[in-house]
Amino acid sequence: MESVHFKTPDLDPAPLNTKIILHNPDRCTGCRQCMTACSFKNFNTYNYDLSLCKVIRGPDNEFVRIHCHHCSDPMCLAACPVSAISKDLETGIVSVDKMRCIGCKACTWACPISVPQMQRGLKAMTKCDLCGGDPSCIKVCSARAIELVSREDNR
Amino acid sequence: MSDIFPWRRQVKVPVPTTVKTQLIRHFSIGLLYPLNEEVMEYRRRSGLNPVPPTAHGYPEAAADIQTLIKAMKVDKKIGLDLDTMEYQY
Amino acid sequence: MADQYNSTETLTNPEKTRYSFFLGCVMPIKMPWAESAIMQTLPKFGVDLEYLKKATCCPRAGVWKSVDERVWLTLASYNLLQAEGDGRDVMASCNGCYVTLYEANKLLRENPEKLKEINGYLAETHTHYNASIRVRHLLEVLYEEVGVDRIKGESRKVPIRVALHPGCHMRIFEDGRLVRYFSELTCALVDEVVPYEDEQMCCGLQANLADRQFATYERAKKKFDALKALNIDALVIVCSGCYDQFERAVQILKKEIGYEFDLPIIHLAELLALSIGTSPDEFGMRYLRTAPVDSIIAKWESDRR
Ligand code: SF4
Ligand code: SF4
Repeated sequence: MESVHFKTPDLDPAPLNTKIILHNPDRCTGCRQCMTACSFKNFNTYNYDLSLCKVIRGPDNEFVRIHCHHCSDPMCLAACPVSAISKDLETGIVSVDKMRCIGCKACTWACPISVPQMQRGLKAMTKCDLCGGDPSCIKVCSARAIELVSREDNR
Repeated sequence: MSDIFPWRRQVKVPVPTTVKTQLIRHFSIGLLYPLNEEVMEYRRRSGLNPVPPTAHGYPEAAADIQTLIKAMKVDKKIGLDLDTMEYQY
Repeated sequence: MADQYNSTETLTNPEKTRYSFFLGCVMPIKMPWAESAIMQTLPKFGVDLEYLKKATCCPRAGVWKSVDERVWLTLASYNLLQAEGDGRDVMASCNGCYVTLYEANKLLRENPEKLKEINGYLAETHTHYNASIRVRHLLEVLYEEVGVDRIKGESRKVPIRVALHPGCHMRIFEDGRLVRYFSELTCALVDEVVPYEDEQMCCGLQANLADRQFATYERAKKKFDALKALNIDALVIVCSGCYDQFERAVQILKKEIGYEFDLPIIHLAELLALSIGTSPDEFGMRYLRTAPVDSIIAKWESDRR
């Protein structure tokens, strides 16, 4: 009997000391400085469309920030047919290997907040990689609305 | 990337267009807004010295800024020729 | 030297603080009224204030932090060392300049290695920065050194209703003290401060880098709409950066869609000057405005009569 064998990656639960970005809408002023910093860091230009994080108005007119949460059990990773997405178990960073990505956008549909985007001109997906552990957005937020926190402290 | 494609040269990326003119003003007069006759007149009427004691009044400060930018080789990095105030890319 | 870096609160002169006022790019050109009001009023409250001479652009930390951090630190030090040479602390009114200078100064105080590197560049201009001074906001000087009680005692409220625009950079301290100082000081100077929903929203200055349309229509105009509905006399600001953006947005909106924003945008120091009886013409209150301030002056005059 033929059976398709789905292999679930045997992930340890993400170590609790890994870092994520936490946004506080009560402090956010919607200045989008984080978005300009992000597009500059990744694409050397100031362009909101290219920014890998987004600040938009929420249903109650508050500012909502959409950024990758580097999930403990990432849906994007599970959805990728060519295993181009991986999670570094030490740092917790979920990243796309652009050399492997076939640009099928499965990750975008799988991610609950559609974080991965098609990178223009490259036909491969791109997403926040926490700038390798030292995010540019956090450096420029003067309202101190975003911070890098560990999962452990913020359960 | 360079270990996979050793022959590829890094592309020179220009600074974003929105800051290009600002940077020229910053490096030529030391500040982002120039002083003109009209402003000088209003400053006089407001009980101030027509020329503010900023780099407007001390042109050597703007020269110092250029020296510092050159010392850090930032002009090369952003492709701005400080002598002609033109961008190379 | 080592101890000095540990405490961010070391004073150059423990008896009485003396300040160099950092003007920045916008204030001397677009807001002579604010500059004049600050320079005339603060000394009357016992603040030892002089201009910070040879001031250059602070520079914009938001831009330079990502392009090249050294530029931010070096050019900020170039400004700070002018005050240090005079044995004075720096005072800034613009939130943006304040954050740029404050954070650069803090970083250099805590990081002697960086300071050494920066001084290497500064040596080219035969200058040197020791990072021995403090950077303070106009609001800190007014609130912590002059004090709301003294201001209340020596002034008479201007009989107007206003709304506030604090600005993003005013929120750099977790405890939100600058924003608190701003509203308490304004409350002490006017009849009523009216809160509104979008008070926390950014003016849109930063957004100009990426999208001028967004900055003008989604930020400045949204704010203007909310303010117009309030039926107030003025919008109070302290940040030159926010003023710069509002002034530009007023012009663009008028030109593009014929939108009139007739609410005067005034600086806190103007209120302070008026409240202690300085005549509006002494600090040029009528010139270079986005909207006429005659109604404020009329209310002030009838109250003083
Ligand atoms: S920089 Fe900070 S305050 Fe501004 S939009 Fe981003 S999270 Fe909000
Ligand atoms: S891209 Fe989406 S699913 Fe993947 S780690 Fe980030 S938030 Fe989670």
